[in-house]
Amino acid sequence: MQIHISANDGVPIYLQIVNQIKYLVAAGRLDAGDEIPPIRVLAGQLLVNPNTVARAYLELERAGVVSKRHGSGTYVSDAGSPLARRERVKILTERIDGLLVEAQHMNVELEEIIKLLRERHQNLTQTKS
Amino acid sequence: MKIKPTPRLGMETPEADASGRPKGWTTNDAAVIEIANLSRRFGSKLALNDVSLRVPRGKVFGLVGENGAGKTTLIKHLLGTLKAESGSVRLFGLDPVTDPPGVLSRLGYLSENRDLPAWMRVDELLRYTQAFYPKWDVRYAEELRQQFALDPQARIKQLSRGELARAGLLVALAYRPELLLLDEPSSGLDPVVRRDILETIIRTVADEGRTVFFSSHLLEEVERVSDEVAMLHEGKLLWCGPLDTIKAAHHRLTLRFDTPQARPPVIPGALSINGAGQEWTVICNGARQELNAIVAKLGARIVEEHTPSLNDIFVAVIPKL
Amino acid sequence: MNTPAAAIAWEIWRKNRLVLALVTALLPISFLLRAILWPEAVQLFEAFAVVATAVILFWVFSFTEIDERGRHSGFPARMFVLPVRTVKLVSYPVLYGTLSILLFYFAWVGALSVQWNLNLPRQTILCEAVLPAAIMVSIQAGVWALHRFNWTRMVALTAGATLAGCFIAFSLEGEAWVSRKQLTMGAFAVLAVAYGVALVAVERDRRGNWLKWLERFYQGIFDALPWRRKMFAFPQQAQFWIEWNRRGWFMACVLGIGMAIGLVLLPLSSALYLDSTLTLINFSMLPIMTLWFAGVSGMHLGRSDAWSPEVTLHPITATRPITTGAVVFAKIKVAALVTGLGWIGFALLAYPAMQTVRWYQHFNDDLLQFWSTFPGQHPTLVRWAGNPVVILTALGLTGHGIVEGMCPVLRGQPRKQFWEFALAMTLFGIAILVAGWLYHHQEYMPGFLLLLPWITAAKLTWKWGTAARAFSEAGRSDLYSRKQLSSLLAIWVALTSGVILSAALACVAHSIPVSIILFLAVCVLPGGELAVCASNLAQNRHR
Repeated sequence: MQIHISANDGVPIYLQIVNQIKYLVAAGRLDAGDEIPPIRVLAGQLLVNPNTVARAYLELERAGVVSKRHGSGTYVSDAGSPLARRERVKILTERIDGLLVEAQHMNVELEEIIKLLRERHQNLTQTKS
Repeated sequence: MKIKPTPRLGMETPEADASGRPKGWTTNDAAVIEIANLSRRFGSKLALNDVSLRVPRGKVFGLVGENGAGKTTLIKHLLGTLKAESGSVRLFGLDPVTDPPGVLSRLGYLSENRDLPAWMRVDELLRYTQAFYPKWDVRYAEELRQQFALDPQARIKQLSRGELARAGLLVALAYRPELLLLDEPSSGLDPVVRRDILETIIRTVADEGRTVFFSSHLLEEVERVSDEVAMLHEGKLLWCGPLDTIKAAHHRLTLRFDTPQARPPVIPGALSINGAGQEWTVICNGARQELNAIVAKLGARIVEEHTPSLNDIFVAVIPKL
Repeated sequence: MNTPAAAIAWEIWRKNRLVLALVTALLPISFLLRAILWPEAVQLFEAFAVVATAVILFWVFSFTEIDERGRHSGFPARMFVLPVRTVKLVSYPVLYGTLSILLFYFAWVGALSVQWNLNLPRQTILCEAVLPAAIMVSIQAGVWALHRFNWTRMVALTAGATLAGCFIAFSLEGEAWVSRKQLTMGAFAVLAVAYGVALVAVERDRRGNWLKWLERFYQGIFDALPWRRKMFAFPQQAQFWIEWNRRGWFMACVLGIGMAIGLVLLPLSSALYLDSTLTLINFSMLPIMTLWFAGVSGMHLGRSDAWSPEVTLHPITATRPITTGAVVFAKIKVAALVTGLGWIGFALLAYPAMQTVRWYQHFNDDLLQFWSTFPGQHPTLVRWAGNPVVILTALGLTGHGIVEGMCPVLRGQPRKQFWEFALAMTLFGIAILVAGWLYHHQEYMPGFLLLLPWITAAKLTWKWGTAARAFSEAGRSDLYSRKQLSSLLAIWVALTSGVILSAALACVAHSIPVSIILFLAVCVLPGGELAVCASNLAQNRHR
């Protein structure tokens, strides 16, 4: 599992871990049932305090993204679970909010954005096929 | 009067009691280090001024401060190398001056200038240190030695700075001390060795119940690995507490004014202000809501907001004092 | 300051202002004393002043600085990066050293000839002026050239100094070996060679290319020597190893050689036809040399790192989980082993030392039989010295002498130690002066002998009082374990009884007044040093 954190980001480290794992799950790079590394291993890999990693894992567990199986580690939750889906929608909502704020700053109208969305989606499906 | 029994070798890993904590440790969750109202004067200079702090078990405690702030003096008091002129210093509930073996047998120390006799060979150093600690793990020491790539026949005076730090770290780790005391562990070292040291700190704390106390001015590292942070300035403790609390109390805001400002805006509680024209960046501490009100009163709005890094806070705070 | 010459001169002066002022002050002080004291005392002071001045000047102008890791001291390496040619860099200290030693030489020669109305021929003075200059430059060259090899430097300088001293003394005595002219020419040659060596050494050192072969040679030897590969079973063993390492054998050799020197000096009194009192003083050279070298070894042992001048307890020992008492005990064990080995060394060197009596042939042809006739001439002394009690006591006192030397150094406060040492030397000097004065005014001797027991009693009370206090304080504090403290007490009791018994045996022999024997015995009695060592080291360890 490849995660990179940066101490100077302005975003708390545990939040960076949470966000990145959520993203990996949403993007499909972490499948349901995959094990994520134990706390001390990830702490050693990222060179951060194990308590920070523990906090991130706790947050992920609360959000339903991962679940701890007693004694045998932490695993990614089932993709079909409503919690996981809610998480994915939440991530996308945050991105849409960011997009809309920027568009407002740049004085781009909503209709133009929707038109752009349809264009890019068409482009994506074409390249895929 | 106590009779000091002669320790014997042989115990490699300490036996654990029912709760999983190794036998022989203090069973209450009292603080590992307790310093109360410590002051110290060197001639006319007040090196430490009424310092009180408490390091809980199992945490990484980072001590930051500029050069000459008193960090090494504080650490020397923990070792018993300096006697407390006023106030008290207790480690594991014991006084390092009246009971050196009781305290020193449970801590591992790496000093800023490493303090290893130049004439010794690496294997002689290991053998000498081993004699004092019954909990020395020979296999673990050998594993570390190979990982650190230290030649046992090499003399200490031939080692480079990085190897010297690794050797010092090796003899401090091999007996798995309850408390690891590091004075500027990364000073003058290349990124590879610094990585080793950070890894060591994390691995130590990840082992149940072991504590790390280190002083550094590499604030990125302190930020990554510390649970609690304290800052010394000219012998006085400025803040001391969990890292999250300290960071939550500070904000870095970018303000946008409608009209260009000729001089920096005055914001009470601001530690530093940078910028020109309509946009100004401020680092300040204080409650978030109050800041909103203050900013609105000045006729500006907040366009960007971040949590400042420890480095930003440090650089902003120091010149103000 | 706008030239390197001025800068270097200023630096030397600034670093050593106090000492240079002291040295300059000795000259007018001697004039002052001439007006107050009697001739022999003034002569003694002046001899001391001349030697002290010379030693201090040699030390000041050797112009060294210790590098940051304290590994070696040589020509200040920080000057190598200055834009000054090595020739200039070396020549200025050499020049200043030579000028200053010549200045003091002429000043003292002038002062002495005025005070004692001597009339030395001008040529002699000028010729002999070359000698101190040659010595100064040789010392500078030796210090700078061998700065990376502490032992080699020490041995070379000591050997060189001794040889030169003997050579000069003997050749000045009578024109037996070399003529004055040859001596002067030789000194000039030595001066030139030394200057050349200094230039080459510093230049090569600057390029980082000096005596690498010697370093490799030594490295080869050290790597070939067997070193301890076994583990330590106890922390005390490890501590003993670190205390003994790198200086144990050296101290034992120094002690053995020192005692042998005492033996070499023994026939001096017969050679110079001294009377019985001075002969007795001469015979005491052996115990005095022993105790002196033991004390010096102790001062060395009191330091933490064998060869660095650092007096603070080295962190590698201070941060180990070992009691302060255990560290002191390890040092005491080293002292015991050094004593044993030193005496064995002395026993081995005794025969060659006794053979040196041949050198005294120059004074007195009968001296070849000195050692064979010695037992016959001094039967009581030989019988007393051969008594096992006396020998064991002497062994014990040597070991205790090491401990006495070590005790103040353990405190790690060089300034305080210096003043205490100065005070002790002053008291000793006063005692010698008093003895000398009495020697010249024999009529006061019986009165003094009546006063002596009171002085002895006072000294005894002081010693036993401080010993009692030291041991009781050690008992109250936690520094020594019960077992350690009882062993120290046992050693103290054994030594005290040994001294008392030896004194009793000496009194029985009836050759020296009892009051003097008692006084000397009280002087060598052990005080509380054994117990004080731990609290001194604790002061060092926890500042």
